[in-house]
Amino acid sequence: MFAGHRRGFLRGTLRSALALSGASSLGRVRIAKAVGSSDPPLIIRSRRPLDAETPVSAFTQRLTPNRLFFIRSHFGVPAVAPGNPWRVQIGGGVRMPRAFSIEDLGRLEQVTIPAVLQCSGNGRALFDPIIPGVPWEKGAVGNAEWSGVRLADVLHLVGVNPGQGHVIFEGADGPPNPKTPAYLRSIPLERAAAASTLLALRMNGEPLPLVHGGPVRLVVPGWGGNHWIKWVRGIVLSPEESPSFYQRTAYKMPRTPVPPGTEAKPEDLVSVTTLNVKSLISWPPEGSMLPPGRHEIRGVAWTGGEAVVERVEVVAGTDPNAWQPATLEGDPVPYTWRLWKYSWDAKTPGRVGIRARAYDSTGAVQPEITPWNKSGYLWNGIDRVSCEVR
Amino acid sequence: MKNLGNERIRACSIGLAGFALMTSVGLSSISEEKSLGSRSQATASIDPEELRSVLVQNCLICHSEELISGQRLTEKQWTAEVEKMIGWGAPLPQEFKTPLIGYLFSLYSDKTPKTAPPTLGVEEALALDRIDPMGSPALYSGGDVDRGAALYAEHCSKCHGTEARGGDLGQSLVERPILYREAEFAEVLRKGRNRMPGFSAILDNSREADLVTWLRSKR
Repeated sequence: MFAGHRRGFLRGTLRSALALSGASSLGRVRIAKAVGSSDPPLIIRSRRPLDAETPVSAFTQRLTPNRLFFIRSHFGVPAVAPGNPWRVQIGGGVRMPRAFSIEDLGRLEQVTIPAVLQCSGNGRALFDPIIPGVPWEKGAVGNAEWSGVRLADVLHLVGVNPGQGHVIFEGADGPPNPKTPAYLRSIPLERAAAASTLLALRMNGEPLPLVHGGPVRLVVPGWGGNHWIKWVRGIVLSPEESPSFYQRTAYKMPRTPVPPGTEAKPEDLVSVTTLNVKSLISWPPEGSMLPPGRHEIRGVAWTGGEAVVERVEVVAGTDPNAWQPATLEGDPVPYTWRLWKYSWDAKTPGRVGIRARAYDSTGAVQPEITPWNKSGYLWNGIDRVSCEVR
Repeated sequence: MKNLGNERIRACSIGLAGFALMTSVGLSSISEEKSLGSRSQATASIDPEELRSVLVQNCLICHSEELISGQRLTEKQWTAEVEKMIGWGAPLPQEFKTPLIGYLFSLYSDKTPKTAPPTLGVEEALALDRIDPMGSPALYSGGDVDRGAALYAEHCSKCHGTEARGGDLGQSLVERPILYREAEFAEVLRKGRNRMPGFSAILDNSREADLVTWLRSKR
């Protein structure tokens, strides 16, 4: 079923690639020109609320441009009225509850952290058996420079009372209906107080766009996007984690793998927190046709927590085990992704599978297939594209 | 702000209590719904057009169709999704639950071939969530908040909830971008959308301005 699914996916992208070039046979140069000449279109998973995926062909730069960055909304952007300036109200278990304006936050020390933001459900559509939910394939991920104030600095100003263990965040995106659970989540105080946790006001140097959670969103580098609360308006210190549906029920996966299609017992579930090691092939596009000769296979690789990407390997050709090292750009630092490239000599005409896998500093490597989990989180199977040399 | 989580939970239970009232009032006020709701479960096959209408009126209130047409689920999974959405406030009459599940499964089963998802140019995609520049109150300026509150209570609150936080037949209207997308707001208000009837007979520009002024004041 997995193979069948992949073939279907391949046909779809081949069609898109053909449409993009306006030609029935694709030369390498023509693809590069079509992709480079203007923005590629976004893949729309849902118009309302807006869920839009970045095509992998856009992942050729260290930083993903804001306009191409994937969009995930639970309940859609809030409209915030003019004349009603934004406030971030901090309360709960603190000594001095206080509301911060955007200007207040802007006056505190600003730091910039390049970090991957990835939806925890990125790759859900690649699991077998099939899983309900937004059917993200590869592009619910991007890398940006996030600038803003350390949450720790803000917590220091209000003073956290003893006995607090979690920080609950409220976004302004209310649910459509009182029976629909609000998107409330919390992170442990220890992670909230870490130096890399930001209340971000800027993204890639621009004021944080509304569609990406502006004017202020939580940034939790190394952790899944479900923690990166958009449109933050309330912060509450609490001894317990948020009692919300989205904290206690959603975003859980089995502690240890379960047989595909089966559910783990509630006591065997843990919250999705850190991302895992992953790479994507951004060139050549799925389904492309390439002339024989040298081609530079390119992509990106990242990992989660405080780990760093140490190695990427590529295999292109008939021997599935002939893994070759790719050349990594940038330094091995946490949170941000690294571009990689591999010079491939395509000698033999015919269909070729290209695969890529990344290794990180914990010794983790991308598996062939990510263990199935019922909500389809954290897919990081070896990335594959198929093309034809002729 | 003391305990955010609990406040939200309280808000939810208030909503639940209001459910029965809103449903009964809401259903009788919309003639199309009345015809749908009067069918019994024993009714034999429901024609696809009617099933389509069930989907439009119960699912597309809150999300657009791509999210549904992009799924490929087993009957069991569709059942679980529909039940989850009923629990979250989808106003699906009980007798349409099984037919709707069957309809969704017939269109988008785990055996249905996958189709390429729609794509949109960046500008077009970003426009979907763009709030009209706050400085373009072309249609609605000078509205009266108190008159708006009265209008809302009389004509909108049954479906959208007394505080506009959503009811079983209408979405929350608090801080929604449509309040600033004036042309779209006017069109929905006058012509209706999905379950919502048009209100052109009782509204004019000035009353619409009152209404939008009150809605914009809500947090």
